Amino acid sequence: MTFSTTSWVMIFLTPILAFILGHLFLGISRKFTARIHRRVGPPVMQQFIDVMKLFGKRESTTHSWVQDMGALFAVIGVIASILFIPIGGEAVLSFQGDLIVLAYLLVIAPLGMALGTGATGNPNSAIGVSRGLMLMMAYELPFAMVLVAVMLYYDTASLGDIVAAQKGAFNWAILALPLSAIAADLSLQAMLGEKPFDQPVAPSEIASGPMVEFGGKYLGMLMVWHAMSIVVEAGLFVDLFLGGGVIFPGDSVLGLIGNIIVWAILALMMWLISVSINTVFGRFKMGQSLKFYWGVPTLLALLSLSYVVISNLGVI
Amino acid sequence: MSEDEPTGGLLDQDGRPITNLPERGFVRKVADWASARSMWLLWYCTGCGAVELPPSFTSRYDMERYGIGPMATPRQADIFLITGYLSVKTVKRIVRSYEQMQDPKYVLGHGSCTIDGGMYWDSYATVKDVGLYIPVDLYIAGCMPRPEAIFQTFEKLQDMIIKGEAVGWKKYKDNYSWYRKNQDNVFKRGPDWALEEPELR
Amino acid sequence: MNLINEPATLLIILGTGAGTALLLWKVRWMAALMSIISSAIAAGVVIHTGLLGKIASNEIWEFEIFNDLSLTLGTNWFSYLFLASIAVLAPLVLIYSWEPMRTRQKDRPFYGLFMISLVGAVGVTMARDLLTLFLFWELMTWPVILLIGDGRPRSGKAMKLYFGFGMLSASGILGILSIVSWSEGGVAYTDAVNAMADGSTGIRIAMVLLGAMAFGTKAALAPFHIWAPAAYGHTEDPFTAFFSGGLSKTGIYGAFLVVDVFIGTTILISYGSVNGLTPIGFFIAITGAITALIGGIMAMMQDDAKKLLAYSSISQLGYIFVGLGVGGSTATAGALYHVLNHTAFKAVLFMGLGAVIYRTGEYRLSKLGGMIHVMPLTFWCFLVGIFAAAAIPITSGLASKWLIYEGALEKGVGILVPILFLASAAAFLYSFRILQGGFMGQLRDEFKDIKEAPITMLIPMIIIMIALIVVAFIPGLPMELISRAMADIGMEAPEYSLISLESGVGSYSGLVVMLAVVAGFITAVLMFFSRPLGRHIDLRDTFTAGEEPIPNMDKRYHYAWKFYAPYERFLRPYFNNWIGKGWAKVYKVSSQVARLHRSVMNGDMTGYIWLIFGAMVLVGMVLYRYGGWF
Repeated sequence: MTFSTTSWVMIFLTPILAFILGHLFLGISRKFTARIHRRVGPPVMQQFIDVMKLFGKRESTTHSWVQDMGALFAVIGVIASILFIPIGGEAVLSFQGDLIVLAYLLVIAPLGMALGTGATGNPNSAIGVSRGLMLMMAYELPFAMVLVAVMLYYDTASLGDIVAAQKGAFNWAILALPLSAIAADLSLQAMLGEKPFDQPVAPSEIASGPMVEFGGKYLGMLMVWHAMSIVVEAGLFVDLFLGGGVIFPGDSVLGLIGNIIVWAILALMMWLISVSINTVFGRFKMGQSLKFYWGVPTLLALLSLSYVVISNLGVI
Repeated sequence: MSEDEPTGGLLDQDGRPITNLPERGFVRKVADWASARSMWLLWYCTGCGAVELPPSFTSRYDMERYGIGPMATPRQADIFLITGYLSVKTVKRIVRSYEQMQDPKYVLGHGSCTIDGGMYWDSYATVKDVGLYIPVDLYIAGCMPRPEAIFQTFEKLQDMIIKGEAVGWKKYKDNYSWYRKNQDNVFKRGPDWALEEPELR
Repeated sequence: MNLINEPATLLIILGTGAGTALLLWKVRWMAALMSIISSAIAAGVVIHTGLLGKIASNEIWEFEIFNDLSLTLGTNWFSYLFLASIAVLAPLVLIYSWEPMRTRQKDRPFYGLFMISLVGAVGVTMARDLLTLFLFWELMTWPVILLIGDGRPRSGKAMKLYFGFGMLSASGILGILSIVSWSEGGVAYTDAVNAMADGSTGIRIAMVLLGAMAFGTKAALAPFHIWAPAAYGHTEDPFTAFFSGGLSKTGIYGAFLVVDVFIGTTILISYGSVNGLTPIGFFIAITGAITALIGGIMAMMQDDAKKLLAYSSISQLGYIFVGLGVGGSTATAGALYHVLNHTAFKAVLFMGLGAVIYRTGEYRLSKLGGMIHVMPLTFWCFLVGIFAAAAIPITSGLASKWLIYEGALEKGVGILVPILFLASAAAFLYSFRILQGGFMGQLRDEFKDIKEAPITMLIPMIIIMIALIVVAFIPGLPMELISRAMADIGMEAPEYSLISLESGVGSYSGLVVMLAVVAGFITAVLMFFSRPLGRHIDLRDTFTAGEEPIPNMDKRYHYAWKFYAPYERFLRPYFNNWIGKGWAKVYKVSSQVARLHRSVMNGDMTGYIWLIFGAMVLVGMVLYRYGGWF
């Protein structure tokens, strides 16, 4: 393990960057949604104010120590996973754990959060969590196929290497594996929990599901987790399919900053695509979302995967 | 609680509870500023007042401009908006929801009915004054109040929060026995009530 | 003491314990003490020998019975891996059993049966010929049948299922034995290797199929898995931890023996390979993947917590078969690693659940709930076990699954990995279901006053829990053992250091992952404790839309029944126990054959006389026609 100065700086900066970007993304998306609704919308900084307010509440209530643990786990998991996502071509820690490690790291936060919400004893939160997990099982199939296709195509499981392999003009994986990219974007919709796949937090059905008993700083922790997980998930897509936002040569600090900005803009773009789908859809039922994900996206991902496998065998 | 027991807390000349303003440090001032900019509502829509809310938060008036938005449960909400008349049976639910909210919390009485019963002033089944059971920070007069009036109230509440004058939550804790006496006149807490009695921390 | 010179030492120690426990079974504390002591000594011997590295791979110890028939025993690093995981687990489970068995009705020699089965399991890993293997296999299998009947409804059916599949497994081994002795004239493992080297394709395929029948049954490989949920669900609670954690590993051991030792990579590859993946290997791997998926999806539909864990066990063992089938250094290492992992976490899961059942007497998730408030330590142990089962990176569970995934990716098997991912998604689902149903949610009024699990039950759980967490920091530690074991079956271990594992396509550094988690922890704690702690409130003080809590809220507000109802509706038709129905058909046919047999052998003397007469006539006719005697 040898870390350069840039790596060290990035290790400390990444969580802060993800924090800021996440809330910025959410703020922009609220403005974006408002404009689609022909409203003015809240200020872009509204998310920061919301989190400040939640942490500034004079009291907050908890049902047991597991609820505290759940709030902690959510933030722990998301910080640990953001460190394994290359940002602007800079593989922060991702050379120490590859895509499969990341796939499992991503689960810490939701599972931990689910623990905390389950401990509140409210059936709504249990329903929300069970819906969330079922949704995960639905999109996991196409998404796993996408991951495998990308990994087999570049013959590496390391996300850093995948980003590095996409360097250069028109070398992005979205051009090489367009079907996989479509399937991944469809999976992203459920991963981000946007409509039509927002069953876990259906406010009008199950009173915001997992968050039903969370208030004050507990809700604040979950808001931080939500904001950062958007960056993680959208950023994962950018790294997998959009070349990790690497446009400038990353040797200099200036180039790195430029790459990070490009990466952030691409991630924001993916997030806004998801949000615009969100604004025009209603909510699916659970069975419908399972049928959806095990239908078209799985077919697309499977086609792409078989293309990769067959071409690796040298038949084509 | 019987009539003879002292009610505790401070009362003004009308016999209404009052409280002193809490001291605020810098951090608290910042937090208060944030909570003035981000007010999450819990709507208690039993009465007809609810019809004025959709225009307030959809594109015509757009409540979200001020960071005001609806929330699902009392735990997450900052503002308790009681729209329209309150029947005697629902006081229990009002109190329970209010006590489940987390400090600081503010109550808005929406419409004339919350002030004096409004057009139901002589109804046996309607609560005439919500302020007897939970502390109301601001009332919105009118039957119905238009969205303009609602927005005016929100701006006033923002001012009060920033100045540290919206202290209904503290009033409730300081004068809990006074409110409790009024509540007990209307309903009895069952054995499964399970909420702790509030105390100032 | 040295395991090599006298492999029988271990068997003698354990056998003494078993004998005493069986004889003194009415004096239960004595039986318990004897079995704990003897198994602890045995575990000590095993650990000591392993730490000293005194495992000689090729020495064989013979015990002659007849002139040319002898039992042969021996140990190499490969069998030591299985031996160690079983022998070390046993004393922990025995200590754990002390308290729950103390209050149980004295109707069967629990400790004696436990110890006999332990002797059998240890003997299986030490056997060096097929006959010895068979004898110890039977010794291991049959005591369990007496431990299955736990008095709950349908436990008799579970016993019958276990019996039937035990027979299947035994006849599988006998089949292998007869193939080998028929073609080579001996039954030693070397004869088996020669038989495979000389044999035709048909014999090799027969070996694989018989191996799947013999050992796949024990390891609950689909379609031989249907006994497992029933049997695991109905054994005495303390024994289930050893049953699922320890005994199932002998099946894995046998499968490895057949595929990697008897047949071997060279023969497998001679049938052609793609990226080093052989047709037989692919067949095993895909069966394993389907097992993992079926197990996972069935597990998530269970309300009976023991059945849920039993299906989870099936699912996890499926991963091992994937590793075995894919082959190559990475996947095989992953499979062996998963053997160790599964032994540990499945034991801790069944122990944690057993503690809850011991305190509450309830095993249905919809009737439990809120155990975090009364049994926090048990919850921690159980949680770590669940994290390991779901391969969450803060436990050792990830390392083994990671190796299996990477092994499959190295060989370019595109279809296996998504199936495994789906199975692991199902793992999250059933993990959360058992956590939510058992430990989260509302605490029932009747369980308000129960206590934490007794200390003798907690200590084994805590030991395993600590091991699971420590290995997450240093995933290379078990690789020391695994690399030696792989050297003994002629394979090369993947690259590893103490803190990280390498494969052909990626790397996993346990320490760095854990440090990232710790960094996250520090940040989260700073964020969390920047504000005062939350006020603790009553469980009934939840959002009820303002309504006063209903009576019996503790029961009505516990959401655990049909937890994944939308998916059950969707998936049930596809997972409608069609394998079980297939086996029921087999049962029907075989019982009809048996009925035919019984209709003749009905105990009526006239019938037998007619039968003998008929047979004589038939023989006479045959002799008349062909023999020309008359």
